[in-house]
Amino acid sequence: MTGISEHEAMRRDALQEVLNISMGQAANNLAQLIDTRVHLSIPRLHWVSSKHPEKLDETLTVIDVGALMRQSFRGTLRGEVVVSFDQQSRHHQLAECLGYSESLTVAQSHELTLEITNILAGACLKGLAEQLEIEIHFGPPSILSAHSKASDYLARQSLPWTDALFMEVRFTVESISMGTDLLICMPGEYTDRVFALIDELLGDV
Amino acid sequence: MPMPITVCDDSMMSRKSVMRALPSEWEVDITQACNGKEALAACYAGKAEILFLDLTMPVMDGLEVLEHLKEKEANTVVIVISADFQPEVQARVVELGALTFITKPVTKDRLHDVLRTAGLL
Repeated sequence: MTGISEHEAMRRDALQEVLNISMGQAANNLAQLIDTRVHLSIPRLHWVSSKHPEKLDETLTVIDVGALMRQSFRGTLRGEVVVSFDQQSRHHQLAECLGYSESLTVAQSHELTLEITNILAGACLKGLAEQLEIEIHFGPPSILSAHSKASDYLARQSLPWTDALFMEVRFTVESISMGTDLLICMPGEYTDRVFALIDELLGDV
Repeated sequence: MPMPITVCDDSMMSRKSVMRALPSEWEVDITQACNGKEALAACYAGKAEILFLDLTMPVMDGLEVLEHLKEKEANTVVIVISADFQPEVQARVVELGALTFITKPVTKDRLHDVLRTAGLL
């Protein structure tokens, strides 16, 4: 093991698995919605500190500029999920599966992206809450920007985050390849709490 | 003689969860595999009378493992344990010869139910 301790490696492995299980739920929810098999990549995880926002650029390998959505959460953990969508995604095919007409209006396109944000962020937070046995409540998703870099947004905003857990995951729906970057942003005290909860989980295994 | 069992998952925590959920009365010789390639090597080395297999893994995924085992007509009993539980996936793993499917996270009760139903416990 290079660079990190064995305990740290176990924590990361456990957190990755917790989120992997949550994303399985998200894929299933999406598959039920569109009645088609959804393929899910192995999520890649990285922590980025707000002291080094430039590291976000190094980490965001799937999406450069995308449509940015947010969904805030509170409870045992507090923060917000920011989801960046690949603008190359052929959303109109997904829209057809969901019963939208062939030519999407801007409003319908936003509605569709918000719906997918709700599925991804909701499954992610619900999965975290269930597996860590905590309570998390989350509000409705909203649009941050139709065309931005997540790193620019996070660097500019005065959000109360000190650490962001970055998860890169790609959903593929047959001919539709939909790339997303999902960031779970939390203030430092809640990051510490996540690791304390992960340690409890590891103690039970 | 202990029963050779292989637990294949890229997550250390998941492998541990499965190993801890095994019936305490079983005398087993456990091999751990981090990906499908390692799992196949264990199967062909006679180390997997039962294989607990994850699906989403690097190097070689669980479906590829099942395809190989089916092609070679291997007599390993495979129990798939995965977070990807879409109906199409569950049907595919059974079609490829897996005994059954357990949705993650695995619990002792669920695993024992499955083993009991399969006549393995």
